Amino acid sequence: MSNEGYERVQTAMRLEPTDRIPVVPTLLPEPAAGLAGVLLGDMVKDNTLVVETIFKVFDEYGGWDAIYPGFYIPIQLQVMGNFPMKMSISGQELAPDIPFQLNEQEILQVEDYDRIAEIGYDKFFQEDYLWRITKATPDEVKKHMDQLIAADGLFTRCCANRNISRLFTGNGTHPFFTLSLMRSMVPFTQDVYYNPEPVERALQRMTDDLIAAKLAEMKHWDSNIWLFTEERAGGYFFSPKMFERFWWPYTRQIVEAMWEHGIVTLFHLDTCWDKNLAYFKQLPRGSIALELDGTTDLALAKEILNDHACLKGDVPAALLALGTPEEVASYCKEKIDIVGAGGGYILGTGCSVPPNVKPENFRAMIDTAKNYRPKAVL
Amino acid sequence: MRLILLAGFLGSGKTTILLPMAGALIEQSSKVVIIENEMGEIGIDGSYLAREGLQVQELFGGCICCTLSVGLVESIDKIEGLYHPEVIVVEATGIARPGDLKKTIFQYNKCIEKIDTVTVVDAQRYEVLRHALAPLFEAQIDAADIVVLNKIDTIDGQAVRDISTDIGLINPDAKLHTVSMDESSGFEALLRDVL
Repeated sequence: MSNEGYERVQTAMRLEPTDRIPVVPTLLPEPAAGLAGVLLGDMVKDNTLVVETIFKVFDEYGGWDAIYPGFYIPIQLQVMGNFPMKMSISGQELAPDIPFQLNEQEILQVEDYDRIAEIGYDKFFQEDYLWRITKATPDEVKKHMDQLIAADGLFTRCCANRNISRLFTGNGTHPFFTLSLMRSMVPFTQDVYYNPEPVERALQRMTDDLIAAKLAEMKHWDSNIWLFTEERAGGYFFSPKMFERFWWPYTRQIVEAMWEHGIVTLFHLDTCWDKNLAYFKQLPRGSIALELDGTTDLALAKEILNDHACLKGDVPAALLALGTPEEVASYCKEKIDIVGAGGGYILGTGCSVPPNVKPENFRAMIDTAKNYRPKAVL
Repeated sequence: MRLILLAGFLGSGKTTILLPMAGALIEQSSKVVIIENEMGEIGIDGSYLAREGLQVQELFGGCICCTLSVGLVESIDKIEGLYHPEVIVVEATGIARPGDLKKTIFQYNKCIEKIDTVTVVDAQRYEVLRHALAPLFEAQIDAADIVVLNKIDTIDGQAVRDISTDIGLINPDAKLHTVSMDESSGFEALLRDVL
């Protein structure tokens, strides 16, 4: 994988200065549909349409430095375990213009923790848990996954035609976040507080399994970045004691195991992580990058993790959906000036581009990164 | 326009309080709209409220964490345009920080003149929430104008006093109501303050 945009991203990941700040919006199918004028109810059935729509937006807005490889239809997120929950789908349970909705319920039971520890998460998920949450039959699941594999080929060809790369290749969800979604937040919190041992046994088994699976997966790709998602463990929700016991040790194992093979962990961290930022300094320099969502103080992250971890973010969803292009440009310039100083920064959206992003705001973000040149990065 | 933001962690009893509160509001004011956003099965049944004569707007969030406030702002604007209500009641998702929502609403919804935040606290699960989820829990109490300590029938009198003291330390300016919706205790006093 080599092209100008991806080289720029890689340079930022290595914490070196770039000719300009790279820009990579988290453009998922829902905002791509909004920007391209495609109905979500049509997108949720057809991966080919999803890929075509994403690249239509990419072309219309003049492209950017690397592309977010999120070309799923919602049920595939359920089947692959990204969202191990029941869901309502656009055009099916919901109106065709409403993005898919997650329905968090207490599906995982206390006794399942030890079952996961015993047989492994993947086996538990594929043979048992999946059928508690999905309406699809085994044949339909296979069809959906075959469709995703075909779309992956199309996505690769679309990248090659434009000489661009995927931002990351492998991806995974933190075991803590996965269990919290499967069990739902209140029972899971009660479990870790009152009866932590079974949870810890499951977390360790899932950590071991995840490391093995992701190392194997990354061997197939000419890339060294994988995406690791966590939306709940930070200081927005949990006390430091909980974080230190139930999240940090497993995170450290995973990051260090990947880094031994030169693989960089790109964290997708939603909600505010201000109180947790210092922990990431304990990880090897350059082994991680943090994708932040606009609620973590990005300037504080720069101060704490300067020359240690690449930062990505964080144009807020509210600003992109409700603000003006001038406000977006001003926000981006400020981040480029402060967070981009000295390198190690990728301009991105705070979490996903919102489905109702204003086109002119999206363009303002992309164009500002391409055209703005602060003294600090020259 | 006035907005009542009903906050509180998942399962604290927000919906149980919302139903009679909404009824009382509609008796007082003919134009009340409810915006409902809760995760999973815990959410209110919009059709039930509609049958009770209340206008309900369901709030969707593709990804709750980042797009919730956007959806809320847009819903408020839509409701203002369609119904011109005197009061909007927002039942926020249990994982929301009301302070963040207030900030976004005041920034983008110029029609909102006043926001009263009512945070419902679960007395029964106070210990686990207070310790395990301290940051969110404290933020929800800290942003409140009124704190409702709900389910007091599940704990003894001393525990009610201890928790009340603790809540007072987190937010000394909020008015505290101790309530048991199951035993119909304390709700009338709460209602007088909210109305």
